[in-house]
Amino acid sequence: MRGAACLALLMLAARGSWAASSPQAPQAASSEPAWDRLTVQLPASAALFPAGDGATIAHSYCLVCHSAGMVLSQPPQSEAQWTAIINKMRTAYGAPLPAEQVAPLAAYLSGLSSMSTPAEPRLPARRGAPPDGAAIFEARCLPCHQGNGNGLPGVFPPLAGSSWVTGPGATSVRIVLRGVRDRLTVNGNTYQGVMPSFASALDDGEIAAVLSYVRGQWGNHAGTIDPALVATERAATAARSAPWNGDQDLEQLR
Amino acid sequence: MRRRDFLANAGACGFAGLLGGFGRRAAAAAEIELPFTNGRRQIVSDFPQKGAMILQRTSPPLLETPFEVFDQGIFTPNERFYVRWHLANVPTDIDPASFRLRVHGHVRRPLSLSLEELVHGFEPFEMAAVNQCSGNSRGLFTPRVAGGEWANGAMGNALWRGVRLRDVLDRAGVAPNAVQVRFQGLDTGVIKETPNFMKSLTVDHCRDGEVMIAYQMNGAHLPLLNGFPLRLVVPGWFATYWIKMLESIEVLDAPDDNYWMSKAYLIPDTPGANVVPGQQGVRLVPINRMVPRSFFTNLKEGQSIAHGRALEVRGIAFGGDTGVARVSLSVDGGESWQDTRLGADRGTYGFRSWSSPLRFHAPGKQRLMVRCVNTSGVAQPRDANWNSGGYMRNVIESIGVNVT
Repeated sequence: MRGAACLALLMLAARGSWAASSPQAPQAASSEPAWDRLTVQLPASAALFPAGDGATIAHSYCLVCHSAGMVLSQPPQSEAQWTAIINKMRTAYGAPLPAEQVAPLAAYLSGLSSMSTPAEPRLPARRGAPPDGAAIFEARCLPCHQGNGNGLPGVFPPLAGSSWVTGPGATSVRIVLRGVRDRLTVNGNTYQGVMPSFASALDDGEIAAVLSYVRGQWGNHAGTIDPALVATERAATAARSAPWNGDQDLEQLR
Repeated sequence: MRRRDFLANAGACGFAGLLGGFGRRAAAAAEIELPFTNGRRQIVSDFPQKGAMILQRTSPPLLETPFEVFDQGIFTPNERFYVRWHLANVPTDIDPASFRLRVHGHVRRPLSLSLEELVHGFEPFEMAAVNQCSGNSRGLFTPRVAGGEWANGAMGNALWRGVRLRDVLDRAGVAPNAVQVRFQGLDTGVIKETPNFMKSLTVDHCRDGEVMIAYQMNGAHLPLLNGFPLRLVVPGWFATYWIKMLESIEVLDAPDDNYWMSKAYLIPDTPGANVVPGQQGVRLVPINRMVPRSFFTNLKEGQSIAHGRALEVRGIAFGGDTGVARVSLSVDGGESWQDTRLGADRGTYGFRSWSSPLRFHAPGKQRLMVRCVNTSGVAQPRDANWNSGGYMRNVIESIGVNVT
């Protein structure tokens, strides 16, 4: 169907050009707008990897840095290609995945026939219902601290049996509100991960709910946290813009 | 079944239950099928300061602009502008009162500038410029390559307002032995070993009077996910250099060999960054200047068009590292080309609209092609490039229509 015989390009002057009818270009402000503080909430993914040998490895290590959708949206990759990708995650980005788990993870990922996740389950930033501590834990905490509350050796500390979790409520609240960086010692083991601040991601009720959940799981038997305590600690630490510096700061909060 | 139970029950519990649960939610969710294998994506509107976007990844966010947005004008609205973050810890609370931009390293006078000082202490500067992800259109590579699987929507054009980087560097006084300038934002990884995201440009490039520090985008503050409060704007260069939440400007006395310059975002040093899949021994260099592209915005692949009816075919183009010279349309498979009518020039580095009246006289399948030639004489290639990073795609776009 080539050739101009069946059609014509009309090179006439166009009436009412698209550019002229398109929305007006933005106008620069004559005076600069005020610099207000900007606080946002980012939605969290609750997407899972499909069941199979290797899914547990993927859940333990991949979700630390990125949601599952990143993996599940990839084109089909061979086992060798996945091996190369996983090793890049380990060597370039420091993924704490043990070497012996590379092969089973690569085999698992290359064996997923249909990966697409058309509807990624997500934790809405705000929900009308009372906050669900378990759901918040799944979306916000589990990728690093793991579903069994044991964390990952050397990187992310356990929540199960951790005195930071089961000690004074105000201490656990302050950790969630402002995050932690640098070396932290838990039960004699040291960890070097980075925990972000959840002060803007979660409101007082949500922080109280997730901490109450964590303080009652995996053999923890600490009391629930009241949203009022979160509000008090939020105000008391409002000036803090950086995470707590591990043992150095947190020992003073005990 | 809940996510926390997965570790314990994955072996015993079938996945069907999970799918059933998710499937019910899927029915209500808007979806789009991007034109490649495993291309189904959700359309979401739950990211802050963002409208409906194609969800590529929730965390760290990768959001693609739905292509119909580009038919609405040559400036991409902030709430539809694509989003791309590398590291897991994206700050969500920015206090402009305490924010400081640091200029340090090999300078005579290190600076720590408040936003007020930056806005009022330097001459304002404005420029329209296209911000395009290095891997825009990666999903269209054949053979496919891993990475962010974008269609063509990882790009946008904005009117950036801010100050010239040159003016800020001159205030600090660049040392005579300086060779590069390194930029870093506020985002971080969550593992100590994850390299901070930093990119560098030569001192001469930084002082060209066009590279700028933007504090506004399309007449408003930048959305947080596009880099509030400050973003580096590097006109004509790929977006990997446009550091978001810009916090540190470090003048270096040696070429930057940090991971993001020496190991990532590298392209083959060949014309069009093009190699044969599997080709070995090719020199790699940091990705840099953009190349021309053009797109149809009011026609879709497979669209039906009635014959005999006059229509206007239109779209957008950009010249890459320079302006658009012309945009041409072919209706005969690329054998002959007719120049289209270009819209207003709103800036060398921005989108330019193009349009052309068109009428088909008989039914049948037709293939339309559009090609941009930039003011340096560089034309889009007829054949698609390939490289293992999925970078710099700019093949001539074509669309098949069904004339009825």
